[in-house]
Amino acid sequence: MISIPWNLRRITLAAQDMHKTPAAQALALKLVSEMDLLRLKAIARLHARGLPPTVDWSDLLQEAFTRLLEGSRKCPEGVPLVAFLAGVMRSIKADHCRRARGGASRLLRMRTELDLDDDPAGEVSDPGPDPERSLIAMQELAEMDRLFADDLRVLQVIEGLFEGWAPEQIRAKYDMSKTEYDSTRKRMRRALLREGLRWGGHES
Amino acid sequence: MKADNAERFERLLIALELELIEATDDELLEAARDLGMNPAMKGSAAFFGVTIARPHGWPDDCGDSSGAPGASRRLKGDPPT
Repeated sequence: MISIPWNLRRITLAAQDMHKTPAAQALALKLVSEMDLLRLKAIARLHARGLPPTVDWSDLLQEAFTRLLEGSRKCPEGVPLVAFLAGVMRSIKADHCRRARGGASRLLRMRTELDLDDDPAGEVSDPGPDPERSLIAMQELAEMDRLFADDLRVLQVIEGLFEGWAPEQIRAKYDMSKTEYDSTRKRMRRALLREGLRWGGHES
Repeated sequence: MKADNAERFERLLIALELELIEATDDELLEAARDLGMNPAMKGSAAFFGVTIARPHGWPDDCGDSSGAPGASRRLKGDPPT
């Protein structure tokens, strides 16, 4: 058997570490478990819905781990790391969406300055709630409804959550017992996990 | 005032995020098994994009393993589907 010199082995291991994804580095440092990584993968997929096409779920996930490892985001004491990283992913997503909106409004300003638009006022008005964001949200909601198309109870829970209702309100509105509500949530979780763990690069 | 659709959708995502945070290890393993994945095996496809960097030419969206690069080849560590 060929023995590898100690130094070479160390260099090889360091090179392997350099090629590890930030999530893999966090796993090696035992900051998270493999199961936590799968949970976070499913969460990243969930939050990747409605993102600009240049960013995908894996970018969200790895960027959250990068911020944690670099120390630019610190997990407050007592907060579970999975919940913390989920929050970091949401914040990264919000940044991407803000940047995308900023780019669009800069373009609109440029068009106005160059007199390319027919707007007689020549000013860019504040449109209030972003109609494009709203449209994307409705498309994503329709996509989610398709995921649960064969389960009316899950669709009812999704509708309730969309409206911001409390569990008791959802149960009252749709005449669901607590047991039925809990088993519906379980089916919904399983479908979301399946969707979150499947193959594929960009969320559609 | 009623929140706009984008805000309501974000609210839904946060509620679903909580569901996923609360998912048990058993639920995760069951979902992985449904997809023919075995996360306990080294190199499992469950970790693609997570601990395993995505291969060059990763598709934009392929829905399931049937459209994945090398899907005709079973990955080492994953059981046959």
